Amino acid sequence: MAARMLRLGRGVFVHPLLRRQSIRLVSSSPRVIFAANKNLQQPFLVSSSLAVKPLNLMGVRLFADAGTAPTRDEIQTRVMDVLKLFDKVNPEQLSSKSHFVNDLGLDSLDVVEIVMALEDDFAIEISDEEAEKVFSVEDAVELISKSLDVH
Amino acid sequence: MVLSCYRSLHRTRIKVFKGDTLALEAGRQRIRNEFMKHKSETDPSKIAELISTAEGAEKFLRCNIVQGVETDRRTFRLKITEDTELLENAALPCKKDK
Repeated sequence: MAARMLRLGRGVFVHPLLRRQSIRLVSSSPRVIFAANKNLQQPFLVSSSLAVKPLNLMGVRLFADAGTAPTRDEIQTRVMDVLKLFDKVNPEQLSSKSHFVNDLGLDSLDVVEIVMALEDDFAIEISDEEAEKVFSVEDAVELISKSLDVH
Repeated sequence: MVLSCYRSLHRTRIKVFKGDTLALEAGRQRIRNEFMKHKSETDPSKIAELISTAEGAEKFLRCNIVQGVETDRRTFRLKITEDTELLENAALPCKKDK
């Protein structure tokens, strides 16, 4: 009995404390959560806005990397694709070593137009002097890979 | 010299008629035909004259043509570029002066 009472007593005695504690916890915990929320939100916002910028930069960088990345083979395929679209070029005659004038039967005006089409396609600028030296698929690939490396 | 002139004509054509496939193609043909007409010209003074004609044509394309894009019914947005030649409107003859 005594033990029971004690237990009860303890129980009764302890219970309010626990309650108070729990009340304290309950009453203080929202504040804590609130504060924690505020603290959480602000750093979160700051970090998120900070995080967005590097992400964008990374995106740009990746894009730029992708722009400078193409290998000689990729450049060559793209050059050939541009040439295939040119109406005077017979796609069957085209090879990676074709000379524009001797093999494909184009004239100097066609060559100028091809170089311009390549400029458009690769989004590069080729100076007049350089452009006048381009007379074959190989020349074009060489020049384009050079000017893509420069950027 | 001739080729760089040819190139600049084409550059201007692409800029001025941007997005207008019909005009772009017509311009391409025309530029090419005009050059082909004189492809066997050997007289240097004649060549110089032809080049200056071509340069004049290039300048005209660049400065005196504006592309209008229809934005709405009967409304056009004019693409005036930095090269477009803008002049004061010629004053209309005033009735009082007569």
